[in-house]
Amino acid sequence: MDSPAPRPRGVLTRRLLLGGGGAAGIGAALYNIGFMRIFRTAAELAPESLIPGGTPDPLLDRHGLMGAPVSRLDGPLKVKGAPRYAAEVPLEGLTYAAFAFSTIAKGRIVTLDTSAAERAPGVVLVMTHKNAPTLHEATAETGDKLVPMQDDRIHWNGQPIALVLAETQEQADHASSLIKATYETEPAITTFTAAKAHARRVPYFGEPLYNQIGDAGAALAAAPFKVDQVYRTPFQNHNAMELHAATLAWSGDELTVHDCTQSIRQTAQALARNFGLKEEQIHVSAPFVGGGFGGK
Amino acid sequence: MNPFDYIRAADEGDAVRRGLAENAKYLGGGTNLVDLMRETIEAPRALIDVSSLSTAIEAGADGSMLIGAAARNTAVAEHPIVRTRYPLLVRAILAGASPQIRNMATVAGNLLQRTRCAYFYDEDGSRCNKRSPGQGCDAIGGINRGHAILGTSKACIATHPSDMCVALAALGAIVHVRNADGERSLLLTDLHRLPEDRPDRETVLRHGDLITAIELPPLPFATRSAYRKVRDRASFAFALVSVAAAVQLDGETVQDIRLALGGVGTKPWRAWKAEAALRGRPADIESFRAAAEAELADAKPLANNGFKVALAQRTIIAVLNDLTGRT
Amino acid sequence: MITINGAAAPLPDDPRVSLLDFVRDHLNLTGTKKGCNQGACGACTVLVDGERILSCLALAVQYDGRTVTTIEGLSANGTMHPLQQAFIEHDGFQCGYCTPGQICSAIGMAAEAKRGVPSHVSSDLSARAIPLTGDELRERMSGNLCRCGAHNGIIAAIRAVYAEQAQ
Repeated sequence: MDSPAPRPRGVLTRRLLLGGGGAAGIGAALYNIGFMRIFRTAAELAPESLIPGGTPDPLLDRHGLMGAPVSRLDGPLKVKGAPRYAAEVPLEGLTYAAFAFSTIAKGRIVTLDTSAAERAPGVVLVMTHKNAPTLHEATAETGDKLVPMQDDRIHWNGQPIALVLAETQEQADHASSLIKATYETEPAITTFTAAKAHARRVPYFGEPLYNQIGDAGAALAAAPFKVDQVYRTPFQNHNAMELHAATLAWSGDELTVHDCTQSIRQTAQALARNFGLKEEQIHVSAPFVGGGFGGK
Repeated sequence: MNPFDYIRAADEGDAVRRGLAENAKYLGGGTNLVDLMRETIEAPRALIDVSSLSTAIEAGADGSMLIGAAARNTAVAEHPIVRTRYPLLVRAILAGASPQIRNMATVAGNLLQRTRCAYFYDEDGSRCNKRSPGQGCDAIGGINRGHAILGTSKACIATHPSDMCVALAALGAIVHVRNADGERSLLLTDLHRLPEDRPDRETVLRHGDLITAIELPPLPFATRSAYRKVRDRASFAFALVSVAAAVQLDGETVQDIRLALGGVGTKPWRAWKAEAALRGRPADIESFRAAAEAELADAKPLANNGFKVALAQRTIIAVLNDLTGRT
Repeated sequence: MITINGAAAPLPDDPRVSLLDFVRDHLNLTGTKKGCNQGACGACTVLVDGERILSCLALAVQYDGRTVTTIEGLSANGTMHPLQQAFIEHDGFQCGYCTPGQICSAIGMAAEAKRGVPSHVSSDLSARAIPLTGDELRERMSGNLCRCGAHNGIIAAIRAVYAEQAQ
């Protein structure tokens, strides 16, 4: 059987995909069938670095790997504790942050006393909605439009109501414990059962959350044997091992953000919009993330 | 965490002199106190490190044991004589916390550890009579699945979290205490107070009292003993219900019995009523059931922890069945 | 002074500094991880005089005069500890965040088992030698959480290295 002439974008040859000449004949027949077309399209969209003449992918010429175990490339780093996660980038003149959090689920802050925190040793800044910069709205990855620290409204139990920056972590934590707030509480819906009464149909990642095929109710009613049960799961949390963290620094007009996120592009876009900056000024980096599970 | 001074005590005398200072606290392994300080539930002005004072574990010729207050939980659990003479104590220790915590935690610290009630911990958001007497208790009308059904009051329903203390209560352990004006000892079962109307007063210790040792009186029949812990996970979780028991049989009759409960009491719960109902009775399921019911008769279940009544009774019966060869 | 991976380090001035924050923020040894800061996850596990502890609950000042080994100290002069190699070969990690704690904990665990420390699942408390069955390994490692689910690889790696103790 003949090998076809190499495609202009050399990455995804039949040989690479099928791991050797023996299966090439089958490959020729499969190449133009549906799923292979997807690979071809992907190859056409492949970044420059994978094109001959660019920096080759180290796995490009490693054939016969399908079905063979391969150790993770970052294994030697991870077992030595070498990778730097978001809170682990040492910078000159670093200050450390701590938060005070709302203890009501819904309502507004009536009084917020930060005077003791401001006087505490090592404190550089205490920020609340009273002195936070005005942030422009930007829609987050989740569709959330909430911009923090712009007013006295409380939207959830645990919402940050103050941020302390201090010279050491211990000083920041201590100062944040000195912040006292009083609230006007409003009724909050905190159970699924109560929330169902106000259900809305919303898209989720662009897809409808409601799908109907046939008439399940009628089918159940007509079935000779029925099982009709309600099963409940407890509250769930993403619970990644790595705590949420970020290390940030300005250098002139350039903002570097060491973040733990799967969405570096969207983070940069949101920050640009929030702060009225250009995307090119913001550099978001997250080479190692200690688990996300939907939370990062 | 509030600022504090740290001092390592040179010896017991040095420790108790320093311990009299206002707002000074003794520091053992730190596995509970450091956490409480980080949450600003505890805010001592001085920490007196006593963790390298009395670590010795000594066996007496009369069958007793003397365990230094600073002995680590792991050290007690691996001691060959403790393993032989008091297996329920070893089982209780090994059922608690995690290996790393057991390596750090001292015996005295285990005695003095505080409840893990979520409302107690929620300093800014919840009312707690243990933190602030008279403030109120949000656990009583709140989520109280893990809370106590025995020894509770209108002011507090917080569970005592220790496993080791349950075994020590069953063994009739004696706590040796030293202060600047001398030494004294008391039964562990008298150390912890019921909450009543002052849940902030958790022990009978006075300010400056330093626990120096735990003494285990000789109890030959403790070799036939068990500690069973019922919990949501197979490891590294607090008890829903736990039972420490040791039985001495004379034929088919219960000659002597030690029984204590965890996970259900506001203090480590020596089951005096059940013991009284079992001594001299036949070692059979009717007696076990009657004893368990007697002990739980005064239980005050709450909205979320009513299951503990039956669970405690059944666990008592199961453990006694096991120990008397009925299983 | 605390000896960290063979080098003497002066104690921090602030007694509030945990051993964890001391190695991470003061000594730039960020291999040891902060996963909960309250003793519940094990990611901060280090070895002190060969014994595994949780550095998040340890005040640095309490460890004056002690010898501490962190994950970085296991592969000094370029050669990896056999357990580190085994974690790679048996895929004992994904995100890598619990990994340093798992490895240090396992080394401490093997030392405990070797000296005959029993566990919650040990059937015979008076046995001097306790074989490390799967149940024993899992119980002894239960103080180290892994959210990515690499548990099987972790146990396989530990077994591979401590084979003579394992079953």
